[in-house]
Amino acid sequence: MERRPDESLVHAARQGDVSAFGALVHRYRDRHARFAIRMLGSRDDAEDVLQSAFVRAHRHLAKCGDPARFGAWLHRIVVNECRTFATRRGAREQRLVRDDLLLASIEDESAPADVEMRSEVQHALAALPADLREAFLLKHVEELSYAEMVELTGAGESALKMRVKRASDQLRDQLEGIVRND
Amino acid sequence: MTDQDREDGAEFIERVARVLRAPEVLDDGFERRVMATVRADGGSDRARWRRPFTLTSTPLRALAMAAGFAAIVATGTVGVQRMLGGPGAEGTVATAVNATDTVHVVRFVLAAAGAREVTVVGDFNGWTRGATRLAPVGADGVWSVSLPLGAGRHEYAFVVDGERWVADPLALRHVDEFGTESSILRVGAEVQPGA
Repeated sequence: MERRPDESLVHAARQGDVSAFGALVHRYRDRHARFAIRMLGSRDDAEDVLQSAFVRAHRHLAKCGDPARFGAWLHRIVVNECRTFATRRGAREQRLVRDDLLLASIEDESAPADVEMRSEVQHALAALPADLREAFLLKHVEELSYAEMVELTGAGESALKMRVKRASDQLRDQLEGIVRND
Repeated sequence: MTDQDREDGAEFIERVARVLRAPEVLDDGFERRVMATVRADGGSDRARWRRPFTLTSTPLRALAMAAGFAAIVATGTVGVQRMLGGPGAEGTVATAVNATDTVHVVRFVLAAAGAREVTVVGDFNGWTRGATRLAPVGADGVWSVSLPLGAGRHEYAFVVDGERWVADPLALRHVDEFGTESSILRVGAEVQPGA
């Protein structure tokens, strides 16, 4: 079946077509789930944040300036929701993330060595300050350009480059000898 | 740091990133929960705006509105002249007039050469595209509309040909949490765009 463009779905949703918005949720849920899970270190928290992001997006759909770029607009909402959530979670963060990662590794059916490496990488990522973690994920995992990151985060390019560099340095310090060459 | 060190560092980060790029898949239950919440939350801004509402008016208010519209006619020309300062320039200006009592009529003006349609969206019309159209003024690509607004802070933007979102370059800008840029107008004792 032909893929209906975002622009058409946004226009229909603005007219009250809830199923058109449902198609947008289906299209973007997994794409943004990865960022939210990596950012928050918890699948449950990420689902809560994504749900909130989709509801807010629907509520304010009229303010989506360029419906053809709905995905980028939604991404910004997800990034903001993750920041808000991470700030609220505050001091509880480290313990919760550690617990969640342990649970996830128990349920993982991959080879034990892979599970261990994944667990260590995610734990090192969770130990980064939120702004460094966000910049690293957007650059190296979501593979955005710095111009896209500037648009998405509102931060300056030089500040973002500095955050990515500091995040990379800290990850290297923690993971050297754990992440394998393969 | 040598080139080799930099290369090794980039390779290491790529290996870390590869681990983190593994896809994540949410189950269909997530989608059902989201859509149930969306339905329970009500419609989008547009749908909210289309819900029935009651508007009350008093003779005093009607008189004040009439006075406001009369005053707008007197100041509208000033707004258009400001905007046409540069030949072929495209720009926007919102001029406002403080009427008596609680009603304020604001004139929104946009210079958009070649536009087929211009609308203004803002908190005052639920950000509904198409709800408030500007009318062409003369043949120079100038569009205008006058609206009665309540006192206080308002956010607005223009939409050209149903697609292009244009914030007012002469007013204070506001970028909301969704990354959308709009303009700010304060209506009250001192009525100025972006004041």
